[in-house]
This record gives sequence, structure tokens and C-alpha cells, in this order.
Amino acid sequence: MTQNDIQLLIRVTKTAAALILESGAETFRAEETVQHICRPYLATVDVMALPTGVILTIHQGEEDYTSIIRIKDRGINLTKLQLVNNISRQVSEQELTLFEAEQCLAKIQAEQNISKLWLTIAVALSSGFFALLFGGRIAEFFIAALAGGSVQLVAFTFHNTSLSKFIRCIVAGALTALIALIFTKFFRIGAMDKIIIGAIMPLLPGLPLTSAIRDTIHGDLISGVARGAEALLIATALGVGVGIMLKLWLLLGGVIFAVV
Amino acid sequence: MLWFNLIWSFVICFLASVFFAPVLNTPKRSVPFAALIGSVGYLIFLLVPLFFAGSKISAYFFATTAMMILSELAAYSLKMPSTIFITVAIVPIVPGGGLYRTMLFMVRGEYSFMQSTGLETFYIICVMAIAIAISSSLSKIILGNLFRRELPPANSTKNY
Repeated sequence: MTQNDIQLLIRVTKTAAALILESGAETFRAEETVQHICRPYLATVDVMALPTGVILTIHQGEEDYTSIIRIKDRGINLTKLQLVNNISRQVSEQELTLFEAEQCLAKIQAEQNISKLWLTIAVALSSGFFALLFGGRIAEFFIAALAGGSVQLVAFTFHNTSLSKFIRCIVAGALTALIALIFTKFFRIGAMDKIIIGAIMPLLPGLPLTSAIRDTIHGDLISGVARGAEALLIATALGVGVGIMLKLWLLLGGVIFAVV
Repeated sequence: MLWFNLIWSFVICFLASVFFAPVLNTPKRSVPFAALIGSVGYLIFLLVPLFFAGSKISAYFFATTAMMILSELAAYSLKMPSTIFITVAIVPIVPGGGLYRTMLFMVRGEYSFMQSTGLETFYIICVMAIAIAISSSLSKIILGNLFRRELPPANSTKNY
């Protein structure tokens, strides 16, 4: 292996690991991806993936090559996760050369997410159906859909600001509670509990929770605890947001004491 | 009436999962399977306390186990990571409502309700963790042997 090849190998493994972690994969999957890519090239590699970064060292003869990538933006994108996973398998089975893999990864990196309109509609409908699932009726379906859709619209406007996830979740919870309160107390239709639970269901930390569990089982204790903390933080933020809005409504409205 | 309720829940759960999938950018090919796994799990979650005299906690256990096993099966047959399926499928039974209600009781100062709801939610999360641990490890061992693929040997003379 020449110097150039090793540089290429490091670049490919780095991009792949960063991409798959940014898409919400468990850390063991990121480590597996790096191992898969390095397997055909007789390079031994040590990799340590955390939810916030990856450190990898490639051993080649007498020399060690180390690289660190920092991961700041963690979203969920199962399509990218699957594509990167496929590429690593293909490299491992020698169906793709490293050079082709690098081009494929660049293509995945540039890929656009689904359109905002479709995403808003999907979130609204799933909020509505969750409200139905938890015992709501047709009124709750429409109010929860409205709340879920508007939370998603607000999330788009917040997306490019530097506000932390905690604040964004508080705002989302408060907005959901506000819409539910307006409809149940002002227009007197629907059950508030079902609307709120239905509308915040898409925001709840299902993936961090399952990833945390699977990481911990796999022995990656640090990332397991980190993701568990993330899940707890999001749930707390949502609860706090809803709680603040209920309290404010009580204080400002004054007339409604038979709340919930 | 009971059967109508079960079928109703199944259909609604399927639809909710299908429309939840775009939020996670789920690959289109896997959406129907993931949603189906989710609804089957939810059906088991509803059936366990009704017919097998199980508690609510055991319902969570069996539903999560079934989902995880089905997800691993789907992962092996569709050649996708099992995370894709379990992430979408598990959403209807993740005790997010419990977590949220715990925080709500806390904000309203009803500490005894907060304690009971919080403890129940904590137990449910623990039980789901145990279920995922057992079923994913077991199915990895079993399915890994069934679907083993021979990898070509490594060689250093390949072009890059």
C-alpha cells in the first residue's frame, strides 16, 4: 500500500463513519462499517466511535495513521444509514473499489432530504393517527393533526438557528399544549390528554432510547449513557413545555380551574 | 366488538407508522414491512393482557421481543440494517406518553402520581431493554448461522 492509498482509505472510512453516525446509527454499527471497509486491504484498524466523534488508527507496517472526526449535527436519516451500510458491505465483498466508494459516499452526502411539504403532511397525519390509537375520536384526530403539522412548521423555522435541541423541544411542547388548550377550553371540543399525546408522539425520543439500549448491550457504555441522557432530556423538555403552557393558561386565563 | 377494536387498532397503528416513517427518512422499500412489524407488535401488546392473563409489563416484554425478532428476520431477508425496522416499529409502544405524563405531574406538583407514573415508565423501559437485548442477541446467533455468507479472501495486490 502506498502513501496515497492509505490516505484514500482513511478518507473513505472517515466519511463513512461520520455519515452513518450523523444519520443516527448505533456506535457499534459505525465501528463495524470501518472494519468492513478496511477488511479487504490487509490493514488492521482500531476505531473508537462515540456519539460525538470518531477516532481511528490504521496500522500499516511500522507506521500508524490516526484521524479524528468530530460529529456535531446528529439527525435521523435511515435512508443514508442504509446506503452507507450497503457501501461498506460492497467494499468488504470487493464489489466496489475504494475510489468508487468515495464517489458514492460523496453522492450520499449531497443527497437532499424529502420535501418540507410532504414531511409536514406526514407528521400531521401520523399525529392524528396516534391520537386515534390512544382512544381519540374524529375531533381529536383533526386537532392533533393541526398541532403536529404546526409544530413541524415551527421546527423548520428553528432549524437553522443555533438554539439547542432542549429549547426547541420546550417550544414544540408549549405550542402543542397551546393548540390543544385553545380547542378544548375555548371551543370545547376534544379531550386534551389524547390530543397532546398524539401530537407529541412524533417528537418523542424513540430512536435515542433504542440506540441507547443496543449500545449498552453491545458494551459501548459511554455512548449508551450519552444517548440515554439525550432521550431523557428530550422527554423532559417536552413535558416542561407542556407544563409551562398549562400553568400559563391557568394563571392568565384565571377562569378555567377544572383543568384536564 | 372486541375483535372490531383489535382490527381497528391494527389498522390505525399501521397508518400511524406509515406516516411516521418519512420523519426518520426511512427507505421507501422498507416502510410497509416496518409498519407491519409495528402493528403486529401492537396487536401482541393488546392481546397479552386480554388472553394470557399477563400484566401490562409482560405485554411490553412480549411485544418488544416479537418486534425485534421480526426486525432481524426482515433485516436478513431484505439485506438492510435491523435498526431501520425496529426504529419505526417500536414507536407506538415506546412509553413516551408515560415519560411525558410523569413530567406533567411534576410540573403540577402532584408528586405521588409523579412517583407512580415515573416508576412504571422506568420499569417499562427496563423491560423493553431486556427484551431487545435477549431477542437481538439470540436472533443474531441463529439467523447469522442460517444466512452466513462466505466473504472473498483479502488480498493486498488489488487495485484501489
